[in-house]
Amino acid sequence: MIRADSLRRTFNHKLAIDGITFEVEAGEVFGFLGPNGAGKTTTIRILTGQLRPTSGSAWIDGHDVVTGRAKIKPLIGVVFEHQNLYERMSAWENLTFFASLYGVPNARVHEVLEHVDLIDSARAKIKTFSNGMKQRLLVARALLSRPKVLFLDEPTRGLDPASARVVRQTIRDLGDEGTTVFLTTHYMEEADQLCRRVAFICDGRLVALDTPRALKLLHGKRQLDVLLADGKRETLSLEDPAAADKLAGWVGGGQLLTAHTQEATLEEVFIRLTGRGLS
Amino acid sequence: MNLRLALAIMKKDLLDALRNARLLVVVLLPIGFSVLYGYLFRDTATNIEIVLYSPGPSDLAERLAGMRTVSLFVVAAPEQLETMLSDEAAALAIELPADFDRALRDGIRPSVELLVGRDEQDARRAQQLILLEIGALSGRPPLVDFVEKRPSAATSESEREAAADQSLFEGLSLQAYFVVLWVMMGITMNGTFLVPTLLVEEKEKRTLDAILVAPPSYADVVLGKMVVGLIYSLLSAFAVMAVNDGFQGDIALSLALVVLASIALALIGLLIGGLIDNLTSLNTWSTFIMLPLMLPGLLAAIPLGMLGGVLRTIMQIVPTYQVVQGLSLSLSGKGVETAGSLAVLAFECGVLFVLVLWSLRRREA
Repeated sequence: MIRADSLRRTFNHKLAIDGITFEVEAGEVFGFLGPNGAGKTTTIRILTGQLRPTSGSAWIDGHDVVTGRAKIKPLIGVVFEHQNLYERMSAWENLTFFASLYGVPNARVHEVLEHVDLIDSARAKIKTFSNGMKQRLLVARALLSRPKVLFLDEPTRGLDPASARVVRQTIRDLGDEGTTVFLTTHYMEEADQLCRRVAFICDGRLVALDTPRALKLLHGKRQLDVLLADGKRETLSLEDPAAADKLAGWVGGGQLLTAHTQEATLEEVFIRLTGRGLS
Repeated sequence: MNLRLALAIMKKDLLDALRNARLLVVVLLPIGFSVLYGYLFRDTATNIEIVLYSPGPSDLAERLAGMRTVSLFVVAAPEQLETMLSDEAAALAIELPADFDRALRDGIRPSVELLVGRDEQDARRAQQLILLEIGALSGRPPLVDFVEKRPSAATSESEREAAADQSLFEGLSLQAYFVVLWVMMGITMNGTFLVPTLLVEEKEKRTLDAILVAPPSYADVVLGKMVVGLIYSLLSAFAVMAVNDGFQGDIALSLALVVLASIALALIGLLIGGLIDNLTSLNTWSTFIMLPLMLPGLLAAIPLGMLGGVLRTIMQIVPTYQVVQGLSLSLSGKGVETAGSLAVLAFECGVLFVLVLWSLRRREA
């Protein structure tokens, strides 16, 4: 559904993204992870036709994002990093304006407002909205045209837990319904929960691309930390055949209190791969 | 370009501008000034001098003499009519035939000779008043034939030079002069403040990005915002013209000039908006840009002969000069002479539209 081939983009001779290549399958929730300034937003801007690549190509549903821009517009929805709403207008007016651009009826506006739990605030001016409400409205706006591909740029950044939960649930629902979701975030836990596959981007380069599980297994330690009844802590390697006998002995002897696998988190994998943190 | 999308953008911007106090002030300021000046100069502006010759007594002379806004001079010989016109003592001279009143009563269509003075606009207004009074006299739609004559034309070299050195405002009444100035000012203010604000605010708040990932193209955005500028400029111009009795002379040509000038100034505003990315910079630049844009309009009061060749050419390129020139001519009833202004404005609209698209598309590169 989304294909990028050797995408490269410079701003005043400074490299923003450097030869990125990846593919996202239809119906996949794909995470694009990296620290601030890594090139996530530049990539989204190229994929959504807002910016031309310096070199390389990208396609959405088979349409080139530069030459076939008019064809990709009806296929995509975008939740921007900035809360770009008309502040002097109400939620209803914001959405009916975009509904008129997409040629969708006002009944759909009602539907998406209900979906993001904003129907009771539909007539209120945006300038009275909290951050979380604005973010939910951005999601509602992106869903108006029932896009085949939804781009979300840091959709939960700075949100209160309740609003973040609504946004995450919406992403989950969309994934279940078969919408392709391209999600950029620097919240690794969020990506771990929501994405089928994730790509790590750092300094404009793609450093890893796989399922969260595979990345964690590949770059994490396959160990088990156990706490015994006498207060002793032991670490067992899961690759050591003798570990199973030891564990069975502790369980049989009633000595085992707790046992935890030492699978790496996505954040640890990222740090291991790039030598730097995410924030 | 998609008209439906441009209209949707226009509708949104029309409403949004009404909620923006700063933009409302921009729209209302020229109208407010025109109301104030119209009120202050109403009496001097509406008084019209008419000179009349009638071989016998006529009720028309009495009726015209009784009108508050008309100063009537009755002369004893038809030769005096032209003298008074060339002395600019009257805007219009009228020579009635013998038995004019009886002819009117009997339904015989009398022939009335008119001599039009230098101030054609006032002359036309005087003609309208005379027609109304003739209608009132006969108790039916006025059945007269006006035979129009011009005073002997200036033919000498010195007179021709004097004509070339005339200001555009020569021959315009004070009221018409104000109409031209306030219309120009309204169009320019809408173009340099209102229209670029509509675009720069969208850029600064990134709502333009949201529009452009939806179906509209840059051309739709430009068209939608240009029409908003056009509508507010037309409202401003209509209000100014209505308040100051500006629907005179060649009205259709005046409106055509206002429409083209509004489009040209709105496109200049969008070009400014395309090059500037935030409202703070826009506020600074708009003022600097508005003044030189208005200047040629204001300098139109200076005879062109007094200006140097380069300065004259630059002035003639600026749309405000063209609208002031064109409106001055059309309000004076010299509509045919506005063709040049209309052509220049139409050409500038085309060029500016392309430039605005270029300035916006730079964002993608």
